[in-house]
Amino acid sequence: MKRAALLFASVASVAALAACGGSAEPAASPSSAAPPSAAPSESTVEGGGADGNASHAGAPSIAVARGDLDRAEREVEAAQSDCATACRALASMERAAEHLCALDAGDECARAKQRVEAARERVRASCGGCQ
Amino acid sequence: MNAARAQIAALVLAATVLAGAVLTRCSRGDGARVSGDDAAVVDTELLAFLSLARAHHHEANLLEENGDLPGAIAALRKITVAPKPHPGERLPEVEEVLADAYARVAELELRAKDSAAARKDVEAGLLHAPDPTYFRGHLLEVYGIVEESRTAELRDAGDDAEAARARAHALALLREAVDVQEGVIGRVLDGGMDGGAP
Repeated sequence: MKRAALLFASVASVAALAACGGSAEPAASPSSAAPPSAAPSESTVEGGGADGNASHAGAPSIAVARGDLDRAEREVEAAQSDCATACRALASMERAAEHLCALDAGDECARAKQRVEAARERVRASCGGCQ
Repeated sequence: MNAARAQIAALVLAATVLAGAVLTRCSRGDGARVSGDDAAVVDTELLAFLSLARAHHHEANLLEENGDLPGAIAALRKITVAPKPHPGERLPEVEEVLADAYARVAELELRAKDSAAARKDVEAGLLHAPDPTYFRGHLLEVYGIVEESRTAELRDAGDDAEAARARAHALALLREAVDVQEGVIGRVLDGGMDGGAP
């Protein structure tokens, strides 16, 4: 009877903690709303691993695969973000050079145009160009 | 037997209280900050500010599409005057939103032929972008265009000396904008760093 009560106490505590982990994920999810990346939380991955350890021998490898997938997803997102920033910077650079040339069509304009062309080529090589 | 029952009841009560305390703490978010992985800290106050900024940019888009430049400027001003999350702290995301909003306000003011107001706002924006980021580069570009516009106005008004000074300032600003954006492109493509950070 005592054991049953202890078991109940443990289960209740674990359930509460698991619910905490579950509620944290949606709060971290609105990635569309903000720059901070909101990948699935560590607690979610750990939770999967803990369950797996209890009953499935293959679970740790699933947790590792999930971790790899999350990491790869973050890398793709970071690369997209870098290209978006590079494209915005290139557009700003092009406008600045254009106005600089409107004020001074001499050597300075030629140099600015060369630098813009080099930057454009660099962005094209890394990102496949800008829309 | 009664003692055993009392013990069980006490344990059940303790478990219930513990579970309730943990759930309450979770639902409150413990200070409204939720930590996911090492890099991601999501802050509800910050998210609310970013959401508000996005909503006002959308509002400005609609007004601008209808040709209502003063309305679009007023919509964007709501971002710059809004209460900021965590007052006293300089959060990069907030500083970027402010720098971006000031740059857009200045561009709209320039289109509305108010170069004095545009100059004031672009200078206010630069205070939020002290490092060589995309946002600083963009503000420098807009400032250069504002000074280019002022050059023409002064020349038209017959103030050649002041026009020459404005032109020299415009050239310096545009040159710096090219430098900054070239640096941003190099950093984000070589080092994979966000152009928002130097």
